[in-house]
Amino acid sequence: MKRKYLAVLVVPLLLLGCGKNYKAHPGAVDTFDSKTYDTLLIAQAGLDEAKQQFAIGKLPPASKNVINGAGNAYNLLRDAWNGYRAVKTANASDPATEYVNQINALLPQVNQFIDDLTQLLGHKPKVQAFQPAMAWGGL
Amino acid sequence: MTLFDLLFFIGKTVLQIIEAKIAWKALNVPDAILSITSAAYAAYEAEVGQPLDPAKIKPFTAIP
Repeated sequence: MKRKYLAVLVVPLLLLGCGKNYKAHPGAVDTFDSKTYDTLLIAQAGLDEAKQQFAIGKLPPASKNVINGAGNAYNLLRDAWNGYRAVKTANASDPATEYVNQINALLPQVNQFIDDLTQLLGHKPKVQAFQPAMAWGGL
Repeated sequence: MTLFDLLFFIGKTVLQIIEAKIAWKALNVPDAILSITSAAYAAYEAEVGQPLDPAKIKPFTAIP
């Protein structure tokens, strides 16, 4: 339990800290690519866990729509990220503006996920997970 | 360590535990949400400094 408590506090703090001393993953085309990859990793793990929690009845039936909605945003984000990577790999100087805009538009939808689930459970949303985009200054 | 030191240490520890429990309850975070955020954090932590691998980002399959 203590570990979970710690995780809730550490996730936002850690992500907030990413803005200054962030180290990109080796193999990333740039920092934006690396940060979006992190966001997708975090969202994927959260969604997988949410599906598990839903399957064992820990989340109310209405959370299905929240999870699927977040999953849909995640899939769109994943597609946009793959598009960004494809453009950047072909031509590193291309700003890939279309994909950057798509990614920045989709991130808040994925980020809203935990708050929506928390509200469904009848609690005030005090946990701010999935905030990397905002913490990173909108990427 | 004197008996007084020992009793003081035990008392202080008990108070810290009570304080931690009160703080924990005040957070009022459901276990399901904690589980989700813990999994998300663990995934992030495990990948820090690791090479970027697009294959790890799998498509989401909706709950039927």
